[in-house]
Amino acid sequence: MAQSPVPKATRLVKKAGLGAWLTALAADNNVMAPVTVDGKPLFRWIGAGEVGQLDLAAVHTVNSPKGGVMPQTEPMLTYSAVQDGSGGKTLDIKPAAEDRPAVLFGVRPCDAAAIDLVGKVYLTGEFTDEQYQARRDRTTVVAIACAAPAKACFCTSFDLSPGAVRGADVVLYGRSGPGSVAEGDAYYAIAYTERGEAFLGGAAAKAAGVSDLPAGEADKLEKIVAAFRGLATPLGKKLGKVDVADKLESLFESAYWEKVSSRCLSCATCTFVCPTCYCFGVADTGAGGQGVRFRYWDFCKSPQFMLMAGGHDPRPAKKNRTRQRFLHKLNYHHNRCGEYLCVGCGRCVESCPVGLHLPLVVSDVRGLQP
Amino acid sequence: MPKSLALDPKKMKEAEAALRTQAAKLLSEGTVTVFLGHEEGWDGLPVPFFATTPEEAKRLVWNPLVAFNLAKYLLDRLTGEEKVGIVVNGCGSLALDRLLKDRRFPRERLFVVGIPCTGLLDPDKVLALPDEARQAALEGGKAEPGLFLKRCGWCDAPNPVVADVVLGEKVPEEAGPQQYPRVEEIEKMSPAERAAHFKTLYEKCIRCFACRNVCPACSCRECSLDQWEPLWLGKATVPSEQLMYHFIRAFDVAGRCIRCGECERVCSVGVPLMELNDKLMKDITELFGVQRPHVPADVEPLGQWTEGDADLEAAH
Repeated sequence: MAQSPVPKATRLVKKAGLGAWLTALAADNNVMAPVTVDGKPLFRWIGAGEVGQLDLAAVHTVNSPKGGVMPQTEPMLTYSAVQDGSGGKTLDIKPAAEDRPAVLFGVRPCDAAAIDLVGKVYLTGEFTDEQYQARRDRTTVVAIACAAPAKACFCTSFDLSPGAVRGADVVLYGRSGPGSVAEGDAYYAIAYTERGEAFLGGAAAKAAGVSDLPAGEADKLEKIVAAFRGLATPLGKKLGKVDVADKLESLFESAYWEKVSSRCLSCATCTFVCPTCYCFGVADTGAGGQGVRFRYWDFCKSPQFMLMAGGHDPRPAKKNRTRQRFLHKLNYHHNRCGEYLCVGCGRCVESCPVGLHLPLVVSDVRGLQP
Repeated sequence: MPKSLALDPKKMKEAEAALRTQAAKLLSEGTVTVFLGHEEGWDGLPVPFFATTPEEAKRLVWNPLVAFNLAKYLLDRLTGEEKVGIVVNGCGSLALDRLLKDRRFPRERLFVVGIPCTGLLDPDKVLALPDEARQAALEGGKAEPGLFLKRCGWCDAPNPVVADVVLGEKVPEEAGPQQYPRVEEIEKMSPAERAAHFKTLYEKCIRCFACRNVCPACSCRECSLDQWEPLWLGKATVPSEQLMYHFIRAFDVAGRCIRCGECERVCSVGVPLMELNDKLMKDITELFGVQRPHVPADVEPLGQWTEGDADLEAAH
């Protein structure tokens, strides 16, 4: 476990003040928050008029908030053909317009960690994805600790917990501690980054009545935060620490992949609800000499994902594609970055129509003969 | 709702035992090389399972949660000569018949084990129940109508329409005209209301294609929605493309949808996909007089032309 993160500022916010906070934030920021639509909890961009739909009850929204930093469809540039003065044409290319600053509010610790985890792919190594960098630089992540982890939660199978801080600028901890879905009438709002500190001191926070901690409550706060961080997760208990990276080295040719992939529907449910799946494709749309180049979420379970011009497909079968997805998360990324590409949010467990998910594969792989 | 909708877990348990014996026999005698069924998954819910040995056949389950429609998996086995075993209930057999009538899989390569059905429960809803209520439903058969799969509410084909062997007794059938209450509500909307309705209907869609991939009527060798040239469906998830996706999907299965509702069930974000499918079925009934448009037939209204066909322009 990493060292305990050091708070930069600690405040108290009443539950009743959250609406005012979001409303004030929405004036200058794009705000993404969990809302319930037709009975399904979803992370969505909300305007000031939709603040009333905020719903922090569900541990899992169906989708993760990854769209906040990696929009499913994101314009990269616009182009237009213009006369160059000598009878010919040149291409005028402009970068995509920048969005307003963004606040991702009510993000669960697993999802916040996922933003940091995936960020390493975009921001470290030989190349930096400038567009991603710019988006991250104008995004504030306000996480909320989980008082009652869901049945499919297994963040504790990695170096995370229902009260983890990774990837968050601010974390809200229910004042009455974990253990019940009702988190009391107020949250401790703790900033762990400079951005978070400024956020808690900003005008919007004032509008929400964010106040200093009552005298003498520091000890209680410490205990409560520790309780959140010590909380077990149901599936995490069953699964234990994920430990299969080395073993997978020798299992590339295992018959297991054929077997487990046979029921895969080749849909994108697992990929698109996953907070750590980040692959994208690039396409153009336009007509009449002008258009937009954009990137969009792509998915490795698709038979089109690796299809080459000319028809060759390096991953022609479900076996190849399923193996790719799980080896990427459990071996390749671990080899490159020293950690698994999974935060144990449990969405694949909840959403896969045929029960083919990461904890199952981890558990199966442990039983395989190398 | 058909009157026969009454869960009988005991009978299902008997059918399960018979299914295991039957599948093991088919595999050991070499009649089939693989048998398509369900096994218990990690969290207790059945998942699709393909048994290849008599030993594996012992893992097959048949219980109130075997919601998954298996026929679509036949498309993974198009090449080869081997015979495939498959278990179906009523709606499962409609899915199978859809692929047969669409000539997507040869009947002679199939051995179909049919099990008459008195209704199945919605796995998601059952999983969300408190332990006691879940046990009462799964073992005691005590289930409110709301716990059943949506499709059971309109099912009029509980007995397999395709089968080489049937395990268990035939269930009484009550085939009446299909009802489409939600479509009627939408038809009553003003044009402006309807436009607003359709504008938000597909907003939630994350374009995962689970609805298409699970659909037994979506069986094209290459789906137009996957083609790059021409790019029928743009890659951007913007409102116009979302409508394009859902309209193409619904119209391509028009006249062939078996009303199993699997598209809606597997949708993780809850898009009411059956609305458009139901509208098209209702139109087929009204325009062509076909009372059960979801049941595959040798001659189907949208697969032929006759002089007596409804004049669509006059009809609308």
